[in-house]
Amino acid sequence: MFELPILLILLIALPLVASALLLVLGRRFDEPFSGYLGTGVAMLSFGVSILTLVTWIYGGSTGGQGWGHDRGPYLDFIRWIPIGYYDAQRTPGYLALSVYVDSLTIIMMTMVAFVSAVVHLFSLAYMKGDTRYPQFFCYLSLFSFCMMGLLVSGSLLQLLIFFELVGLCSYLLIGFWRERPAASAAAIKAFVMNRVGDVGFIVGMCLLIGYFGSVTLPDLWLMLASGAHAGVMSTTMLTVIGVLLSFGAFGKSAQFPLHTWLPDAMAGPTPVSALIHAATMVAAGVFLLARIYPILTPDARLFILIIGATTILIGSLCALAQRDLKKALAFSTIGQLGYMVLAIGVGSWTGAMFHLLTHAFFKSLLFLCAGNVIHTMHHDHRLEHFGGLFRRMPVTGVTFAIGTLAMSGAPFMSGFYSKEMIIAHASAWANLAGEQHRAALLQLALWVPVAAAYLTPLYMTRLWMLTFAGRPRKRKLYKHAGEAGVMSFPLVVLSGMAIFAGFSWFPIQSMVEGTIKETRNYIASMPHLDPGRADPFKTAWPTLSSPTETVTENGEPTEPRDVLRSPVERRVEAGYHTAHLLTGWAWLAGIMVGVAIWAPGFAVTDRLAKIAPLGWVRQFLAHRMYFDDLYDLVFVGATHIATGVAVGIDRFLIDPALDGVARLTALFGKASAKIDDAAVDGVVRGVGQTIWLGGGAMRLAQPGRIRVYVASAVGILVLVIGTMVVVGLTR
Amino acid sequence: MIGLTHFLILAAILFVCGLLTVLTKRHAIGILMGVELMLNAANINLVAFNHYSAGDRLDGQVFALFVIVIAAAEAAVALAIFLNFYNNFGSVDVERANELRG
Repeated sequence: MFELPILLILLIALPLVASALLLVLGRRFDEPFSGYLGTGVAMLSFGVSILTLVTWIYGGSTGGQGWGHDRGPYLDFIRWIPIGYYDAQRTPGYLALSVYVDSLTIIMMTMVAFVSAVVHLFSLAYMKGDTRYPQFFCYLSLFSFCMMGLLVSGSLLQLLIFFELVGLCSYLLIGFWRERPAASAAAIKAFVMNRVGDVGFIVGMCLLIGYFGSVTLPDLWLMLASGAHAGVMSTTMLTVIGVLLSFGAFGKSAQFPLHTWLPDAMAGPTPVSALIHAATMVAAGVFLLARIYPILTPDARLFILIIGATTILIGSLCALAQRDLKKALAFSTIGQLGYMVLAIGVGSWTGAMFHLLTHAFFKSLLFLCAGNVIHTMHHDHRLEHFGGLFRRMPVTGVTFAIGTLAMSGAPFMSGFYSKEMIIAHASAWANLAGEQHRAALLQLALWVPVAAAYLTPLYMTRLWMLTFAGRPRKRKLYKHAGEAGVMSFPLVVLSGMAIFAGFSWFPIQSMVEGTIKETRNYIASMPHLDPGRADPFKTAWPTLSSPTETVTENGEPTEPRDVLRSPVERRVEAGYHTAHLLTGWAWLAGIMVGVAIWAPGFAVTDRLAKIAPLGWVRQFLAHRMYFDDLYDLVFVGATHIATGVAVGIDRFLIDPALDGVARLTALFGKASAKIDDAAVDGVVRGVGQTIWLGGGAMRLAQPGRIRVYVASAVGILVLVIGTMVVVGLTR
Repeated sequence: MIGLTHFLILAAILFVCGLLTVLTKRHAIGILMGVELMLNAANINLVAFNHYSAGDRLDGQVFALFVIVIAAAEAAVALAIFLNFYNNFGSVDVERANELRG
């Protein structure tokens, strides 16, 4: 087998090299070549990621501290910044640069490499003729690098760094068509909203550094799992830290208070939406939650659960009324991310990660389909202008339908398994909460995802019907519509993944479950730890490793073997039954209602909207529940007011003061000029004048006429002799 | 009887003639002539004093001879200066030699 470190380095370095090449030489490469370079490297990365996956599962090292699937994580670190002392033994603490690789990392890397390769391939045709073609591939490659770096990060500090880097790539790619004001504004909005979340993340991280002196993931898990934190901080503090850290995830994953950037981010090119805003970057927030899961207290998880449930409702409802194909998909992404966050909240660690991975496939598929439609419609996103496109683009229609089914949770599609797991765990959690007589409102943790399970097929069917079915609403665009083979191939590949990703023989589920086992093994291998108490995943629900029902020889199902199951497992099993009961047919119900309503285009909904309250609801949802307007009013308005006040202070307080000082200075200057003129200059001038006058007097004696000289010489001589004579005579 | 006083008066008249020549002439050669007159007036005084008051010593005469020699040398130098002056100004008018006036 191959060396794991080398494969990992290759995975991270390849996209970086491609991006650097394109950045430096991009202008020299002509259009197709830069695309081929980026795509080639992306495909190569995918190949390497497959090798990594194989190495991880079948290679690996054996022994107590071995790494590999179901064995343990691969980790390594470099001590970077010493930060004082943090424990009783006075061990110096370090901020470390570290690598933490487990099954989750590996399968996420494979997913990212795969989606990235497919999106690169799609972009070859989609971006054809763009003036900044090489730049686009440069940014895409840069993004792949940042994402890979994020996945192998072993400390919160590194996670933060790569969070910012993927945020930067997102900013660059949303605003890729910077000539469009909407795109620039959306890019800035995305960046700023993410910063808001990151502030929480940074504060939380600083608190952790302050209390523990380390933010390396294994360190945190060990310390918290072993109860070493009890002497250092209160549980409340830990809750606060968990909430603050999760804010970073909420920003990245477009969760409730910070979700408004994602629909606007659809101003970027559609392949970007597929890669960054559906499959990978927005999932990074959930990935962060998964990484910090062991340090989340029940209260922090309750908070996360509430945020997730709110987001599910916002996303699913707003998606119902969007008139823009991509924005509707964006809201569905928000809703699905809400599922994952809620899953973390109810302790469905496996469910969240499983759903993250399956969602990446079917959502990027849906976005690429949308890209295909938008491409052929000359970059028109409006559903009003679509319709009847199935005859023109059958492959896109079919693959979009597959994506819709997968997302709706139709049986045997990937979304079915992951969503079912989340709802089952949510049900188990709600059940437990009910038994503990906690607030009845907590039952919503079950009912919200169940309701969303009905809404999801509804709005997805709406999109499909309005785009592909019915009569074409814009003849001129329809006439030229069609699909190219180059752009259909990625769709077919992705739809394969959207179908198969959920099956148990596919490595995704086993990899996610393996992660928990690896972490447990790692913790258990640490000395001085009570393995029972130190389990970092003790609050996570187990998945059921064997089928709940077995069939006897005569074909009748036997009773579940309760005896062999722990109480927790029995609870999860009951949850699965609830999930089957409540949402088993949700996909079909949603699709049928959707077909019934939207088969004739907007006719039914327009008529319904005439009824006043329904019209208001539609307006409310179409305007995205007025969150943007609210934020405009509150934050932008407050900023404007603050600016006005600042301007007032500036104009009426600081400016006059400065002016006064300036005037005083001018006055002083004038006075000092006078003094200078009169006193200092007077003295100097007086000296000069005196010398001048003296010189004038002297020059009278030097007229330059010889006779005068001679005469004066004789005169003086006569005077002298005369004096001498007179003196001599008088003596 | 002609005494010392007569010589002194003659010398004085001669000196004043030379002085007036120097004071009134603008021509450089004329001025040089005036100077010669004044020198000769001095010579007369020297010889006269020697004759009337020095016995048989010849100090006065020798001194007069020196003066004549020096006057010759002075004439040579002065003429050289005038020649240069003429080369520069195109005349020997001393009124024009006023470049160093204050």
